[in-house]
Amino acid sequence: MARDAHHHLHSPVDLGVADDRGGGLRWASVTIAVATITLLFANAGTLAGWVDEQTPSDWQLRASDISHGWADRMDRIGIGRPRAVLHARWKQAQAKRFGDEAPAEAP
Amino acid sequence: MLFPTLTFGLFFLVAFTVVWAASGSNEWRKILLLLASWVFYGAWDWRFVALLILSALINWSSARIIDAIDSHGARKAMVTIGVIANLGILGFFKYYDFFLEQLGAVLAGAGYARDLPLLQIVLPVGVSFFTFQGMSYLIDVYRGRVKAGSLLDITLLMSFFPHLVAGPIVRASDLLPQFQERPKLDRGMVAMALLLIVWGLFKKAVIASELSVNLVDPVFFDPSAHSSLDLLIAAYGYAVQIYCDFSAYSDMAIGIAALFGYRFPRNFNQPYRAQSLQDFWRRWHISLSSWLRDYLYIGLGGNRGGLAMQCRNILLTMLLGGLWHGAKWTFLIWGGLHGGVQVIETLWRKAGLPGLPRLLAIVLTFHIVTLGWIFFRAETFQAAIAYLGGMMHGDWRNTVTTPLLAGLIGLGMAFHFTPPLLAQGIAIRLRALPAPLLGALVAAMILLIDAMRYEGVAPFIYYQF
Repeated sequence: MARDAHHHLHSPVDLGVADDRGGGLRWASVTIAVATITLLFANAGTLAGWVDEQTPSDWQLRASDISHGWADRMDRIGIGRPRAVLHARWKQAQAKRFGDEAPAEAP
Repeated sequence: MLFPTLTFGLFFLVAFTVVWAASGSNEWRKILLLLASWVFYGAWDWRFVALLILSALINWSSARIIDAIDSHGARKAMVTIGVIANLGILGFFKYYDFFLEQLGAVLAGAGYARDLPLLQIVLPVGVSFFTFQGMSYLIDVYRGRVKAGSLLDITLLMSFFPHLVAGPIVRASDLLPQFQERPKLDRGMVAMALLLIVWGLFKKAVIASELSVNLVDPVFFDPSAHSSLDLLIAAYGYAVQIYCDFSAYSDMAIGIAALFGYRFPRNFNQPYRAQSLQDFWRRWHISLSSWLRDYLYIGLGGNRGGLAMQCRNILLTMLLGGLWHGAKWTFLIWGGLHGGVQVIETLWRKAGLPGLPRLLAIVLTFHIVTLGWIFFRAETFQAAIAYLGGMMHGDWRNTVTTPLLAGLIGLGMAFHFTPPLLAQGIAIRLRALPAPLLGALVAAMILLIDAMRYEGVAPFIYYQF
């Protein structure tokens, strides 16, 4: 049994180096907002896919139309292209083999 | 509601906005966090929210009584009742059918076969975590380590959504003082929180999911259809998968709690660089191993009472730690293996025998841990034995491992040999960035992970416990 008591209050988020800059909440809020908006533009297809997975209803159908329209618009502009290119590269990496082995089918 | 999903992302955005907007009053803030936690938990099954509230009420009222009475005997009786109530909840939901099945087998063996009333009980997500948290709170109040808290604080302590379903098991002594005042965010905390969330997302959605779907699940599903090499690599793959899966949950839980201003303790510390099983348990699921040490091992007598008692206590603690994971013989064997090896390590040390060279100790420890994972992952004891038997067949053809899977196993192992404070060093640099730049960076990382992740997200392994 582990005998050495570890320090319970030590958290990974305590960096141990003081930071005098205030406004942590505002800084966090802006960071999260920018990340959210960026993903709304650059990853619109994921949002459309998520809306499609929701229980069908009038609201869901309307949201699906809007989200797919948004994703199409982003695709036309080309904002979704980096994600599509990365995904295609990843699929290529998945398909590579050492020899003639074939990954087993998932149960 | 799984962390690495858009549903959770939207839930988090609403909760973050509402809770911080209401932070003028710490009480309202906690009430909103509690409501958010119930919505989070109710997404699995609303009936279990009632169980969570009942559990919180039992622990709150028991602790109040313990705090209010002076008689040592009465306090001891009350803490015993409270612990039994918690164990009753855990036992009913988790072990009732298991023990009845074992009883049925014993009766049948003795010629008294009976139809016993099995209930096919649905296991509430996270019940092992919140009952252990409740018990530690009661015992800490009894031992005078913490004061009995308010109903709101105790209910929030047990329900707080980041740790609710898969830990870390956050002690009352860590969290209750933080609930007393309105928390503040500083940039370093936020930067580290975001780093942990993105890092956890990568480990879960990319490494653990890819290894699970394309290597571990198919091989463990039908070991007889695979070569010895496949079985060996799938065992290593599972070692990496379970680390990336569980540590990812802990990382995200710590990061999400930090964005609400609360500090959770570290739960993993590069476990596969451990040089012994005792060292492993100082690095793996630290909140559980320290719980077992403080409330079970020491409660049993710890290393008092001589070497034989110490070895008995180690073994008992690890066996019960195995059983905590679930009502299966494979978990008991897993716990027994860990306990048995720790007993050997203790005897080795007491005998004054020399330690192994560092590298050899790390390799040996990792392989003992991986052997244990085979029992942990297998559906039955027989399946685990068949798996191990298949590894001895000597058929060294590769039929499943691709360069990507091999690379991900290597990557998962490589994390263990990076500088221990690497993440903190990165966070210190990140906190100096302007918020819009950091936001764009976080989005780019999430986009990269989303492009690599396996389609769909499997539940975390530790959700079943």
